[in-house]
Amino acid sequence: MQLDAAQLATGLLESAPDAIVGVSADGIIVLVNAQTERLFGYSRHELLGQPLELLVPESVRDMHPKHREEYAADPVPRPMGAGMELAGRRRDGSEFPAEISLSAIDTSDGVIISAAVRDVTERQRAERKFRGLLEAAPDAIVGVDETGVIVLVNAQTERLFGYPRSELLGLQLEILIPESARARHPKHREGYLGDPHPRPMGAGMELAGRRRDGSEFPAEISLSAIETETGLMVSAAIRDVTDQKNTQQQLREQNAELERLSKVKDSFLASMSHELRTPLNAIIGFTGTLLMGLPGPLNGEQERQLRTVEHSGRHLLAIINDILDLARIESGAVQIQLEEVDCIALVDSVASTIAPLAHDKGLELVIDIPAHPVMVKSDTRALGQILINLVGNAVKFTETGEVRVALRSTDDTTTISITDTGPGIAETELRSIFNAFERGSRINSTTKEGTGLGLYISHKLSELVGAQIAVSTAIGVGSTFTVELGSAD
Amino acid sequence: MAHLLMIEDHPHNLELMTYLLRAAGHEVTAAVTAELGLKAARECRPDLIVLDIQLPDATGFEVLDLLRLDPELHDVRVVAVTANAMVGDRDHALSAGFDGYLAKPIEPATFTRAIDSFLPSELRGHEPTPSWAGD
Repeated sequence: MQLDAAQLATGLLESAPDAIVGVSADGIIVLVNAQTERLFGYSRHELLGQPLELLVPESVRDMHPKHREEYAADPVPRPMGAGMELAGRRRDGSEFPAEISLSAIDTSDGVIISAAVRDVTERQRAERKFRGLLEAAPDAIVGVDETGVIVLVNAQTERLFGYPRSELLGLQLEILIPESARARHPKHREGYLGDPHPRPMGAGMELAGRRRDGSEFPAEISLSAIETETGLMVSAAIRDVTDQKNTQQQLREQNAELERLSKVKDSFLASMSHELRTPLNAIIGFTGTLLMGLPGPLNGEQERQLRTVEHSGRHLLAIINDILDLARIESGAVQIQLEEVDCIALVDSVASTIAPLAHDKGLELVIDIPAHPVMVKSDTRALGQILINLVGNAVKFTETGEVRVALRSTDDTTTISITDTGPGIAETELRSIFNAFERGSRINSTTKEGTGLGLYISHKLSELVGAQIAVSTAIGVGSTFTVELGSAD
Repeated sequence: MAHLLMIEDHPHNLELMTYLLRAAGHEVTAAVTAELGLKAARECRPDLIVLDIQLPDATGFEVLDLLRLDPELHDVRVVAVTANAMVGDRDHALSAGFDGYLAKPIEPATFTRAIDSFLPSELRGHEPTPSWAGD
């Protein structure tokens, strides 16, 4: 393919994204391209033959010929006006910020100076936006070049480290790092340059920044890298985390204290349990051996009196056990383990524990369970304790007749109800029977049974497993205590 | 009838258990510290050791470990007796390697039967009887 050089040149010129303006030695426009027309809003015949100053803002027109002459004297291809704010003037009088590069072309008619003009309005806007974000950022942003020299800071950097930016730009980054860490730091920087992806810095390391006054602060730092015309700039976002560290420390101390107190409580309960049970061992033990007749036979009165002592000893043990139970529940030492509980197995187990007591009193203990399995989500031990208490109570307070334990389940709830044929509970006492040490007057027998804590503990346990206990009663007929549980979902 | 070793430091507890077990026909050796207990175990090779968890010079668990490490004693049956009786104590004791666990206060009428359940049938005693004179 034969390329026509002239056609090619014209094609390139007309399709160039920058406005190309060629100017003769005396400042007259001799060449423009399509982009010039678009950028400045003139058609080319309006420009050709005109002085270049037409395209220059009025405010700098006077100075401009001098710049042209200076360039003509030494026409090296270079960007124009480094450090100057350049602008172009459109046909309609509006101005725009411009970037201009110059070069010179030798022609048979003399030297033509060519200016490539670019409208950098958008770029400036983007830069301003970037600057704005940077300056408003809550973290200190520090940019360093590949040698570790600070090339960029923001307002927060000045505030956080206590330096005006003029003091920081151009210094090595290590000035912002505690002396103790300075030696190692260049290595870290190199390491990052080897694989510069955005990430937090120094995972697991305790990082710190050093202020102008020498004071240090704990810091969280994230790194990223930006390609610039001058190479890679590594940017660090630095955050003062003094407050977070303090809060974390406080939390750690509080947790340690809570754990310590919990252990103290636990060991106190364990010692109490031990100390209270030990004397009772002797009391219950030796009244037992005496009543067994092991050291010798007893007369009737001796036996009677010893039975009183034994009875009291057992009563005391029951109270101690209940109080320790309660102390453990109240102190949160009772851990509820939710699991699938087989209600039928549980009811069976409770019944077999209480059955001897019922039979001793001539009472019938009836179990009423469905044919299909009934599972609930609960804590076996807690539920068992509640049932033992309720069934035991029913047996305790019923003189004749039966105690019936019925297990029922529907789609949403499962209930276990304990019905007795005892004397019933007075209306006025219904609410208070669940209180600690309230016993109610249903007992007609001469000996006061129970510790007064059973229902209270059951109530507390039911709260822990999310169950409800309801009572219904009729004087002279009996009472029904119902434990209501959710289903196994 | 078996030879039982009681390692228990509280005098009343020791007296009670020893009394009942002798009344059931067993021979009982008593030791009031872990150190004395281990010495007695090595010397008399009991059929069963009844061990208090809380001793003045060691815990019952430590004594158990030492017993299990001793090649001549590591098969001896050991029953823990403790006044702690907190939830999980039984499971903890059994998983530590105790053959049995009894809570204090003991039940005097059934204590010897409970201890017998850990002995082979030929070594078991009888129900506690007053025919034993005691001293």
